[in-house]
Amino acid sequence: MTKIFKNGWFLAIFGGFTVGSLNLLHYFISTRISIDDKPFSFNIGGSLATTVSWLEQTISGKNLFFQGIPAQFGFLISGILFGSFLDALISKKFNFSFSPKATITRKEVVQAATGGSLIGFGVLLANGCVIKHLLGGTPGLSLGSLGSVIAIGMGVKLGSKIFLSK
Amino acid sequence: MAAGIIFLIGITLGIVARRTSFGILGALNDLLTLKFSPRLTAILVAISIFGLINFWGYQGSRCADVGWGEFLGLHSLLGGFIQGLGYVLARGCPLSLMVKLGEGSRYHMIVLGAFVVGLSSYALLLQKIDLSLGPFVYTGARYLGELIPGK
Repeated sequence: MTKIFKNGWFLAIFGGFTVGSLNLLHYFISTRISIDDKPFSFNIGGSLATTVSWLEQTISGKNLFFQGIPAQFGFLISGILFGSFLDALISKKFNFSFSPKATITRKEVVQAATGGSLIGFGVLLANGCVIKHLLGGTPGLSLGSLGSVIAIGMGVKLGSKIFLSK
Repeated sequence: MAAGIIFLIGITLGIVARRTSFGILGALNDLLTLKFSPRLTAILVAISIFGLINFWGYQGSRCADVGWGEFLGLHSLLGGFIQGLGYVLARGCPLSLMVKLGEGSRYHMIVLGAFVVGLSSYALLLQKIDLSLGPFVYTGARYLGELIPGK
């Protein structure tokens, strides 16, 4: 029985089936916590954005730096963070270290910072991240999502050529 | 109650994504190189399962306060392209980001910090973005089905 869970193809199909089913379940339940009473599928990037806006509003009482982004706490992303943390602890793969030897190079800092800011800006501009558009909008036949996914693919292709081919 | 269930969905998603290495970036790379791999299969299965939503009808959602966000327009293409570049540099999509943060990755902590800066940049430029990209939006239809004549 445990052998089958080590099979790459089985894990992939099991993972895809579980993610798709959770997405469907999330969609139907989300109306109860939605700001505008409309359901929404997984939107990790968008949920991060609304959580940051919510944090600013909670701490300072108003939106200065994140005006225009709806403020809502992301229960889904906090669950993902907690679940991943728990699983990493149980499997002894949690790898954060305060050791001064565990450094990141300057090049990696610039790379991470550039990537993160591009993602943050792009997610709001495209009205969602790749998770929302590929796993929610594309099967839902949304024109905006189909366009975004094609553009994301082009960005990944060009990015891989420029940044990973060295 | 609903918030609690969504939190549990998140925990399950975090564990499953970590255990099955579910990731969009790798699958997209395989799709672009026409390589049929387990991770591409995982994405296709997830898309197929969520495709059942068409029996009820899919409704989009908004991330920011612009009236045209859900429609197809120049913003979808620009925003998607910019994100795509960002995913390569950040070594993963937002789901991978959350999973790696949970594992304690310092690299992804920097990505998260910069992500917040990116959000703020957009928010501060929102009015200019609305004025410049608003005219380049196709508001004739939101979904593929609406393009069918007679529908």
